[in-house]
Amino acid sequence: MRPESLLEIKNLTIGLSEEAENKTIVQGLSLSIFPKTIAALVGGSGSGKTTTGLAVLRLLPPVMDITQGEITFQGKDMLNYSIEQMRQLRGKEIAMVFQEPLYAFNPVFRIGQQMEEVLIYHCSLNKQQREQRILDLLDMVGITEPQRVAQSYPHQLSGGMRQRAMIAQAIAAEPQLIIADEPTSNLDVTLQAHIMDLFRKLKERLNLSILLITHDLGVVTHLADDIFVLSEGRVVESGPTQMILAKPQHRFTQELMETFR
Amino acid sequence: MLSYIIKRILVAIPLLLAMSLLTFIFMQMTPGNFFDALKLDPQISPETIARYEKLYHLDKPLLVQYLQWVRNLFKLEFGYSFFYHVPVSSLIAGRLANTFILALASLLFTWLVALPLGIWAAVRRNEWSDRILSLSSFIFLSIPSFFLAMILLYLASQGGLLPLGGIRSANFDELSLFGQWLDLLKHLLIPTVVISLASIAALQRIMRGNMLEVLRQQYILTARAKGLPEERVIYRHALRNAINPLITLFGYELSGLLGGAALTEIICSWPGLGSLMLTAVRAKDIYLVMSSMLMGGILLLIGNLIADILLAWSDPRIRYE
Amino acid sequence: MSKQEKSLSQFQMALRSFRKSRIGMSCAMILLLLYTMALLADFLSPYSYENEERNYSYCPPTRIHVRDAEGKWRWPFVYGVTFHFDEFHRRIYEEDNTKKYPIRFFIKGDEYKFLGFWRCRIHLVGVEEPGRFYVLGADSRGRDLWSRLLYGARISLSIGLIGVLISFSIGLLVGGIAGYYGGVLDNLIMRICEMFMMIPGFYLMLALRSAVPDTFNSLQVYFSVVVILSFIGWAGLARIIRGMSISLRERDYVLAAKTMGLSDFQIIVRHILPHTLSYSIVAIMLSIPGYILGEAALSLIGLGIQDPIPSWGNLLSEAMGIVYINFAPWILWPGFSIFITVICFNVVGDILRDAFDPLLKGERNI
Repeated sequence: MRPESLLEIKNLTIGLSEEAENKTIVQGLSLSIFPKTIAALVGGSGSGKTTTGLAVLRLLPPVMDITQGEITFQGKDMLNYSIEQMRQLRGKEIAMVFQEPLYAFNPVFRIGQQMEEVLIYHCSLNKQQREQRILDLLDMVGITEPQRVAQSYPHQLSGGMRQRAMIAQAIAAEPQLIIADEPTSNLDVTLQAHIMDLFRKLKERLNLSILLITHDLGVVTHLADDIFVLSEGRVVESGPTQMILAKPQHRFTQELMETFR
Repeated sequence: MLSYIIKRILVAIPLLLAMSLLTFIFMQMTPGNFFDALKLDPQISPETIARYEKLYHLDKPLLVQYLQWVRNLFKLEFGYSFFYHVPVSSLIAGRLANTFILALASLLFTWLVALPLGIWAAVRRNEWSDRILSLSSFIFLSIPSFFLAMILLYLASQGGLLPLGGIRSANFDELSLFGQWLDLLKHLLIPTVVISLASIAALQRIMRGNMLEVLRQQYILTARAKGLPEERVIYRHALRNAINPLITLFGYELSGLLGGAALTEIICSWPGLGSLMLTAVRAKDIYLVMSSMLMGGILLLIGNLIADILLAWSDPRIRYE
Repeated sequence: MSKQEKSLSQFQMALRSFRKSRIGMSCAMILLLLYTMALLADFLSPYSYENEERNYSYCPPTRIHVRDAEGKWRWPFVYGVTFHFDEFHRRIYEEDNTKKYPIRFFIKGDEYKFLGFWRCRIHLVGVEEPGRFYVLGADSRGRDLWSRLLYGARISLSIGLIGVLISFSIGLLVGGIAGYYGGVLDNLIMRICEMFMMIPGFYLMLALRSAVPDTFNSLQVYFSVVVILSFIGWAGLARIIRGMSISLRERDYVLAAKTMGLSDFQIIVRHILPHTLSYSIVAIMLSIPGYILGEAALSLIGLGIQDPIPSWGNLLSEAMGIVYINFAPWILWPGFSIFITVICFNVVGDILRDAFDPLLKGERNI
């Protein structure tokens, strides 16, 4: 028997407000993520996958509106949450990892400082405990010199280390779910493999679920338990990864697989 | 970074000298000098005039005169003012301090008003308060400073609360220490406001633009995704980045103020470097003009240097190269 | 379409976009009106700028009446004016009901040369002697401020245009040459520019002014002021044009022109500079206020255009004695005219810049 779903999206529709053409970016999208699962949201550019990820945390830009649908987290309807409730959720229950950590980190603050913010606002630890925790987190993501990295500015680190640091920041407050938006797309192949291993390891150790947003089927095959294929704002196919990839039903999924041969 | 500063200073020195040479030439191009007036004065004997001319090397060729002046610069002697009958250095020191006070006051006022206004406008983008601010900024940018000064002085004369120029009241010496400070502030108010209003208008626009630019960045999204309260997102993450480009402006504004406040000084009778320059030009007091120009150029240079230093310091991307 | 033709039609598109802006067009119209009024100053003003009447020193603006003392409607007229001295020995003016002067149009007044050629005495509006018609009031010597304002417009508005044109010609050429040739010439020119930019503008202006002999007549002073103003502005522009020139010199059409045997100078003038056109036009619009203000500042402190020739700057110098503003607030009018002119140029420049923006972006990306 499958446990209760962690994140449930039902019939989500997101449109561009004030747009003359009334374009919808996401159309009737539904997906479920279960605890301790890596679910991949796969699609080409413009398919609406990043938008979906942002919608979960209600971080959509002002021009976009959620016009329909439900987003439920741990059984509670998030769309009715106040801004204050959302802020308490962000970073603590649901965290986000972005594609390009060089731009996703603030260039004028040190890594340690930025990580500490999560701890200050979501955990009750004193200064010493926070500092120790930051070092532990950096160690957990496979960084060999946590002290040096914590003192560094984002531009001083290599791409791989930055991405690890970003992940360390995401897991800092022990969230249930991480939304990872194209976390490996800007890395070279070796680094990709390392990061994917890291995700797998963290899922086991921390009982995490990960919503993996990507266009890269290679990453999906190695990492994802479930797969949701997205095309033009709709889920066209979904199910356990191995099953779908072995026998893709939908034309789009088949095309996607072709490009990865 | 030290080597960078030294390099900049070394490059600037020949430029400053060239500038002073240019001024010297211009002054010499003027037909007639200060002494022509003296020569016409029947009370001054030709011997006295000859003695003066010898004293100031006026009998030697122009180039020698100029070089003599440059040589004296290293002794921190700026020549002699024929009009005031005192060494130029004693005149410049006091005036320089006054100009500095005005510039500093304007700088503070500008920044303390413009930055919050810019942030406020960015956060309320396109609401009516933003639009009104935008319009008033435009108007204040266009109003001629001397005109504004006149209007404010006129209003002051109507109101009777503020003095109509100068730097201290007649009864200054009798006032208590607190009274003296207050007196200074009262005299400082109108010239400061006149100088600042245009800068505030421009700076506020720039701050608003920077904030809007920064608020679009990824790291702002990250900060929100981390669940940080909006105040922290704006006043720590966004502001810190939006201010960076402005820090260079700070230095340039300092240098601009030191050079550009001259007209306002004159209208408000503020005894600074600018009004000194005017008197010197009117009197054709050569060394005073040259020294004032040199001072002005130096102040500009210092302002630019400060700007570069501040930029290098504030942006860790540059500092750690 | 050749590159030159293409940039021209984009230019026309930008102009069309400018025409759509109501505020831009209004300001442009105001400027046109101001310049026309300056041109027709002799005709539009009741008096020549030198027409003094010391007994009317600081006379307030004349009120136009349409009803007489008995309440009857009449053709618009003004009353004569008498004065007496107060305790500060200032004149206090009162209307004299016994003397009525109707307002006349196309009246014969002070002689002038229309457009510099035809001797003429006809003024648009005025009153018969010995009545005085002060639209905006009189200055210390009883001269009509409105008339002097109109004549002053000639100086202030023209200096702006001429000064800017000179600066820009110099800046364009110098910048274009420096950028095109590069190397030592470029370096040398840039150092010179830096030197000029290192001197605070106002100080430079004063220093240059001190080099102008006292014996110059008004026309010579006028041209000296224009030259001085140009001296200040060219360096900044030269630097920017040089930057654009550097990026433009590698373009295909420049290489093509070279292979066709055009001389360097021809290339600079015919191929590089036209592409800086859009930037230059905007920069000109936004710089003119600086020149107008520069002349005003100089004249204000007595180092610019001299009395009796009026310029908005020296008209304002009367207001420097602050006590007079209280007594005769109309002497601030020249300040308003400068203000309006500056605002209009700024608005037009701003909107033109927005209109040209896609053009500028397009140029940079080619």
